[in-house]
Amino acid sequence: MTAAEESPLLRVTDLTTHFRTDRGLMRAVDGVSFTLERGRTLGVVGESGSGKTVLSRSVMGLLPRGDVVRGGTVQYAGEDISALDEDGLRRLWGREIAMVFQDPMTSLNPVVRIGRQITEHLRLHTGASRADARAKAAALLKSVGIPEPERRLREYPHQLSGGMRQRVMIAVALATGPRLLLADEPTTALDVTVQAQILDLLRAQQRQRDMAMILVTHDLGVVAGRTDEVAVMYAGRVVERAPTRTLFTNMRMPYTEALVRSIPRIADPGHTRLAAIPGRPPDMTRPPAGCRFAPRCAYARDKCRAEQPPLRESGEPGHTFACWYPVGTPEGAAALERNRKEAS
Amino acid sequence: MLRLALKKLAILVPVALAVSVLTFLLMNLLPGDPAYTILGSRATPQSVAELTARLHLDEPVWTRYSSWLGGVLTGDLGQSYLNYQPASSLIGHALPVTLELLVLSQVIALALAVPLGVYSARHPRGWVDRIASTVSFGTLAMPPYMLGVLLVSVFSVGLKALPATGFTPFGDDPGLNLRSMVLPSLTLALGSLAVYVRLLRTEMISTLQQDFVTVARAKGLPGRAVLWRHTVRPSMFSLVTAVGINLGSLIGGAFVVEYIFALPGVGALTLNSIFQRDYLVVQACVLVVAVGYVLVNLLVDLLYPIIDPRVRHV
Amino acid sequence: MSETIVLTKDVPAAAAAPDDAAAPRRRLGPVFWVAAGWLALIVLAAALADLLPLSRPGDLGDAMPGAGPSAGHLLGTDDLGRDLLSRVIYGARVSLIVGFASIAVGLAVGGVLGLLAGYFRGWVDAVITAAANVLLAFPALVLGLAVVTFLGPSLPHVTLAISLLAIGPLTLMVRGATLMFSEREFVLASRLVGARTHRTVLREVLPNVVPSALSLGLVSVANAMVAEGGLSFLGLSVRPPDPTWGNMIAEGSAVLERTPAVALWPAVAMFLTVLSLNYVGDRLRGRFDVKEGAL
Repeated sequence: MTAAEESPLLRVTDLTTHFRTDRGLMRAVDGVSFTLERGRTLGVVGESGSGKTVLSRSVMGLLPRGDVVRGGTVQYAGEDISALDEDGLRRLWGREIAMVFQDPMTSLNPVVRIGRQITEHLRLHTGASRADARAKAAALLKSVGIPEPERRLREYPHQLSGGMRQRVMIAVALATGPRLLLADEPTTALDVTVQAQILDLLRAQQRQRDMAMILVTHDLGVVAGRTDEVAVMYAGRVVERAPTRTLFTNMRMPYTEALVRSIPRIADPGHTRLAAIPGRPPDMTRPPAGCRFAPRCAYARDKCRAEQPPLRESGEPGHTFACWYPVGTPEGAAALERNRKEAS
Repeated sequence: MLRLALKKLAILVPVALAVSVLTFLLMNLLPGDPAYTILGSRATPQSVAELTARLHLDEPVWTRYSSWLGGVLTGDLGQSYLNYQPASSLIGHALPVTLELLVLSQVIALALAVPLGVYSARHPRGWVDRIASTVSFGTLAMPPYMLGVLLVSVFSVGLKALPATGFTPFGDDPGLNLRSMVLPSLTLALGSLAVYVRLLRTEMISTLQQDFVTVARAKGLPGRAVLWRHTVRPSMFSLVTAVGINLGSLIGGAFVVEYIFALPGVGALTLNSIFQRDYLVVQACVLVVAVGYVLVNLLVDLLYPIIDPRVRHV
Repeated sequence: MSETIVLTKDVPAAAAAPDDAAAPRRRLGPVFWVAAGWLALIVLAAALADLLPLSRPGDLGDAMPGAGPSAGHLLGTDDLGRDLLSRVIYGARVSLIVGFASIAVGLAVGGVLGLLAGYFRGWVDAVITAAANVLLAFPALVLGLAVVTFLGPSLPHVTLAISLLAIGPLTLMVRGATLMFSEREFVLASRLVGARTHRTVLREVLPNVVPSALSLGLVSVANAMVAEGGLSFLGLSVRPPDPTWGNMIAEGSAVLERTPAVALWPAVAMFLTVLSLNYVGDRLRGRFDVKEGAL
């Protein structure tokens, strides 16, 4: 076995991405580490502004030029790709690592035919002939559930519905057989009825191709049953990480608990109020000193506001979290109890 | 598509009619008896009577208009009172020169505007962008008669590199023809250039922020494909509209440029006819130019859905 | 799928945070005042030309023809020995009179037509818009040229021809602004309480349309001056020997080799004036916040 094959497909170490803005340095991603093995799926969950979208772009190196301060390393198959310039990254983009974006209405070039948009990088990366690439594109469209693929290849994006376009975007991403797929809120912009279809399509393709996937979403309901592991992000950091089942049954972070509470359940009686999290994520040009969730947390004590909790093991395999008064522990229960008393 | 074309054509008819009425009424602005004014020093009782009869000046305006329009529709635009040549053949000889001037100027303007606009958009607030936007704002205050004189003083008087006047038909000697067209088309081009650069820059900057440009980068496409296929191409369409909108001032500019550089185009024909009080030819020229302008605008409207797929299938 | 938790859609936290201070009112900037200063200077000089210590623009005097700048002739003299500064200043009169007068006429006529079209809609709007579009169906200079040709070249005729050019665009602009403001709540409210039509137009719509019309008017004055220059250049405006910037450039273009100053100074004066009008108009337009889309 070579070193490249031994190392995990993706190892992200202490990744930071800060943007220089008029208001100061914005810490969009602030020290994130994780690994992803081949063929596995990781869900990255957090509210808007938690840094999850910037994280996926940073992993890929797909950031705007200028006004960005980057730190930490990203190793892809043992190679440090965070040091590569755009020319170096281009070798991986589209071929090894592909991305599905949030809004299919704006992700396709409106003045280029669908066929060209699927085959342009396919031909570039595989050197396939025009006819071969076209046949492959038609097969891809068929595999992502688009009827009459030959006709669709000749059409322009505006002739397709939103769901169809996202299927095309998935075909674009899968065209070159990447080993890692980053899906950034792939269903947020779609109708509820189409969302589940697209997510199941992604999961099916991922399994079939033994491709690793990072599924970025604001909705814990999306990752349940569709990912192997989940990382919960808050204010630029991973605050809890666990195998998906463990996370839902045994969460430790109060933030994760709040996210889980906000998933609507079919079993709930009608008109059940969903527990929304009060407040909004902090301004990342001036993050709070201690735990960044403390200002919104029902468990938070003085210690939380003063000291930042480190990521620590829960005891269960693969489960880490960052909290001083974790959910489901005597300390947590005591902190919650004291806060209730002090409030009343 | 066909319905759209028919609809546009349906609008064209009343506009063209209104234009012809206005043009016809110009003649009635002439002070005194038009026949005397037209004939000027050549006016004799006999010739005045002849012209009055020919133009039906003794008949009511409405009858005169309908017979004039009848002539126009059959290709009879009237006759010069200087050399008795039909106005249609005079215009026929002049039109190719004007068209060459217009086309060359737009080719030059676009050939300069696209790289400048693209570069400015990719490096906003860079030195090329700053210079281009300053110069653009400046050329907006430089009408063609100012620019033309400036170019003549630099290239003809100063450097003695290019002829200031004189025209060789393209058929006689393409090389000499192009040489004589350089300064005139450049004069006209610089006026359009500013508009096109600013427009393309704005369009490109908004396109660069589109998701599909990021998608193109994420596909690992080389920089030039991202730039041309996924950024420049979607930004080009408003330029087509701009060429159409700009056409009015372009035609006015062409008149002045032909005058400065002594090019025998429609503008020069009109102006010479004005100076020689050859009013029927002036009227014919105004009509041809106005109708041509309306037609080109129609053409741009019809062309738009053909080149922009977004509009095609609506 | 729940959106309850999503407090804001994917907007970075920083952007979603409330602004520290309300956006400061856009400053006009030093260039604006330089431009406005130039306009004031040229207007004053043209208005007070008779009182200035200048030789008459037609005076041949005893100066050397084609001389460079000297104490007696600050900008030198032209090929006939006439004082260039005096000619540029008297030429400014024609440009300014035609520019402002034609746009005043254009604004008055176009303003009334635009208000009527925008406020009453229906057939009034259809007729006025169609008429404006027919005027726009002529390339501007060609229409001006034709009108002046058949009327005869003189200051009032040139002014008339150029106001005719201005009426079309100004009508459409005022119509657009009126349409926009007529939809606003305060106008609808005024209509609902039963205010009479002319009252609503005068009290509610007009004051809102005027600032945007005036700032576009300034840019139109620049265009009118350019158009007058074109007609002058072609010999179809005020005729020589009376100076205009346009006919001076035309005269100068014939003697470029010997006396480039003859074409240079009127060109510089016109360039600066048109540039200043464009800049000042542009800036004011930004300040009055006229939405381009409404035009």
